[in-house]
Amino acid sequence: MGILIKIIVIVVALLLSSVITARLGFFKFAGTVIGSIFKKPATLMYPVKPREWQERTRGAVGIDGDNCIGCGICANVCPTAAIAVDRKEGKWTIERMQCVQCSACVDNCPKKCLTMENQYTIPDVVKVVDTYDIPAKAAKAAGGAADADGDLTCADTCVFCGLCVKACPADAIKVDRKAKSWEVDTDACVKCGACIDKCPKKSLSFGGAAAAPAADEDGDLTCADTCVFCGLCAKVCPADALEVDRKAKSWKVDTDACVKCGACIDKCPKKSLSFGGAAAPAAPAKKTIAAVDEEKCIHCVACENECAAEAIKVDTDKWELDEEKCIGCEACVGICPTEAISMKEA
Amino acid sequence: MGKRTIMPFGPQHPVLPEPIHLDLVLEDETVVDVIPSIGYIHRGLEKLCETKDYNQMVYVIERICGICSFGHGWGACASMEGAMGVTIPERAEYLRTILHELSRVHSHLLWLGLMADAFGFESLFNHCWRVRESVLDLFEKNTGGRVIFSICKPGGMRKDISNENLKEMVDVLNGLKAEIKTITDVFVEDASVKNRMTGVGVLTKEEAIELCAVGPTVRGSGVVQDIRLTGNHGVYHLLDFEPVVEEAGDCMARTKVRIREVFQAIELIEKAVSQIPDGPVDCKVPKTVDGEFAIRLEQPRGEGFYYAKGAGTKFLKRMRVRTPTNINIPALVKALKGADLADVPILVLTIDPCISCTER
Amino acid sequence: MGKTAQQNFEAVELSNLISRVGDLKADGYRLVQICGVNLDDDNYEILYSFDKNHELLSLRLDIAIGTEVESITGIYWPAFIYENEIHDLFGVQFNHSALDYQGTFFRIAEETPWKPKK
Repeated sequence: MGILIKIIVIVVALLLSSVITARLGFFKFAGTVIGSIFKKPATLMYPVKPREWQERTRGAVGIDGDNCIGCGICANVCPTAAIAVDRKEGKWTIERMQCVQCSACVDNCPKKCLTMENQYTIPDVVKVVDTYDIPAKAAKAAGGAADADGDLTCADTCVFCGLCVKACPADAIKVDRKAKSWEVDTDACVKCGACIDKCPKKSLSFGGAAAAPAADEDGDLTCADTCVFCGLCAKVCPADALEVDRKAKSWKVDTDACVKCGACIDKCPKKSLSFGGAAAPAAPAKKTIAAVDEEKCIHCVACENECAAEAIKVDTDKWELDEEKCIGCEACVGICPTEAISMKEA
Repeated sequence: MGKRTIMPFGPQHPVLPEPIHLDLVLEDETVVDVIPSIGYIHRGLEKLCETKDYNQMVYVIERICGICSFGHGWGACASMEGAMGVTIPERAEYLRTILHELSRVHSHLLWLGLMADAFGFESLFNHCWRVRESVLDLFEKNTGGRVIFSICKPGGMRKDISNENLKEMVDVLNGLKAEIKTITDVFVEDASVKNRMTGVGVLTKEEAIELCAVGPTVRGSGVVQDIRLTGNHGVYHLLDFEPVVEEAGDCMARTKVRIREVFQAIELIEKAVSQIPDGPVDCKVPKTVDGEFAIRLEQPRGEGFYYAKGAGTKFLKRMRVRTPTNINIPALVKALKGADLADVPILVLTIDPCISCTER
Repeated sequence: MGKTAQQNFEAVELSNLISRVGDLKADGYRLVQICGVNLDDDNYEILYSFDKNHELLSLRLDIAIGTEVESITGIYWPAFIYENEIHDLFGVQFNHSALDYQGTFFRIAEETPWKPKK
């Protein structure tokens, strides 16, 4: 007890004297220093006690490998060349110790498959290199050997439809339909091949491999009786040359505007379109069909009315789809007031 | 005539935050002449503009220095925006001003800690840096990094900071004011600190102008010189900004300038947050840079000069960064002549040397 | 921004460099910086920037690589910092400098690393 009182007296004396001397300008900081004895430490026992990470902390780059298209834009914008993309092997590599966590790659990824995690890479004694799997891309070119080292070239079959411009994630292509010009900025081109996939005339390749023979375009675009007026051709036309009215059951093409790119022919689910009226082949396998979320469906019958293929039947508590008839035109998705319908794989 | 010796100061010295080499020519214990030499952390960053396009150069320039990082990011982006002829949205200007003033708070707190360390006051040094930690936490919460922020880009800001976060920033800073006052009172009123700093390293007004010094070094000698008065960067012209000037010209005056600037920065942040408009924080920029542009910013250490010259491609022809310490070294060389050896660390720190900025 | 930073660039020749800089000093200008730019393999530009009342004025000096330039340290003593740096990095020779460190100012492993290699 006596010891305790002595300690208290000494501490109080120290505090008082520090206050007094501080007023005189001596030992001004003593008050704070003595106070620190009784406060808890300002430091954190890291790594024994975990750190609380902030939401925006730029810690390390993460990748959702399944959605990566291997375009290589992340590797191009990285200021320290920490990222390497191997399209043939399907590998995405990052040197963790080279990365400065600037998140330029995250911002520029066209598929948004890169994220900035908010925890730092764990320190290590070797230079950590992380590799992730991404879908491997086969060599890219139309009809023949791919010269992936060559620059992107466009053959004479080009109709200047501009679909490649829309597909390019790097904004490297410029197309002027009126001036009939096509040019590529080879510095910006990341050789991802998205334009080659998209070109309806198969005019594009790396290193100028021969383009596949063009489709028969002697005749004007015609639509056969199998047309259900779903309107998908009008949506995909880059020249806005098609007009489809589902209620009036009419299909019209402006032959002056039509650039004969064939995008509508590819998209038509009934294969009703062709140049020069060639016979329509049998309907191909569908890619997607409609499916309903029963909890959201209010059985308002709007989708049944809208369906051009008469594939939907709606009752007071039932929603049914005839999978054979569904053409995947997505009209029902658009009309549903509660957003209950979505497309799923056939 | 006393005995002359040459004593190397640096590159490694306990008070130096970064390596600079000064050969001190001493006569007994008085410095007669100083021969500086730099280059210990020269990384040739300006030359990287030949191989890295202008977007990547922003990250490079930001990393010139860890203390003045935001100023470099802003200067690099502003000089490129000027060369491209792009005007950024107003909210982006406000955010840049707010973050730069926050950067000034952290930089001056760091310097106060180093100054305390220079005259051996370790506990004061640690308390300054403890207060600075709250500022660094604010940075991490809003920009993602404690030291390197990567939030400026040519065209504006990469991310927006919400108004709630800005208000929280103001609240945290106002809460820190009392602690900062306790700490800075020690610098100004403690008798032993005053003995070490008053009357040491006097730069008269004429000398400061003649030596082309910048920043608190020159404002401590009574010269009203602050690039924030030009109104050509940020929104200082909308915040009733008045530069902080002291007359005495010695180390204590320069310390007082920096202390007052900390409180002034907190007030500027509060004013800017109350006035910040809503809107976009970035705008489109062309893919190539053509033309040249020079801009100056008031960094915590003084006037920073940023010059970008485009070549019509996405690579810049020249990116020039002239940092304030670069021009304060002649002032240091002059101030050291006639000083005592024991005062050399205090004098070297009083210009707030940031050698990684000087050497790039 | 309140107002755009005024871009005042003025061309100057080797012959009238010293007199122009002297005029600026008499007018009360402060030296801001000196910078070197490689225009191409043979030509070189030195940019001198000055400030008065927070207005920036820059003098542009275009020379061929290998030309010797008169130092302005006689007028602005702090210019020695920039001139020594330009000498060490770009290899430009400044004559009659008040404080010439003769290549020892910037400690680098390679001589004149920023000079274009022929």
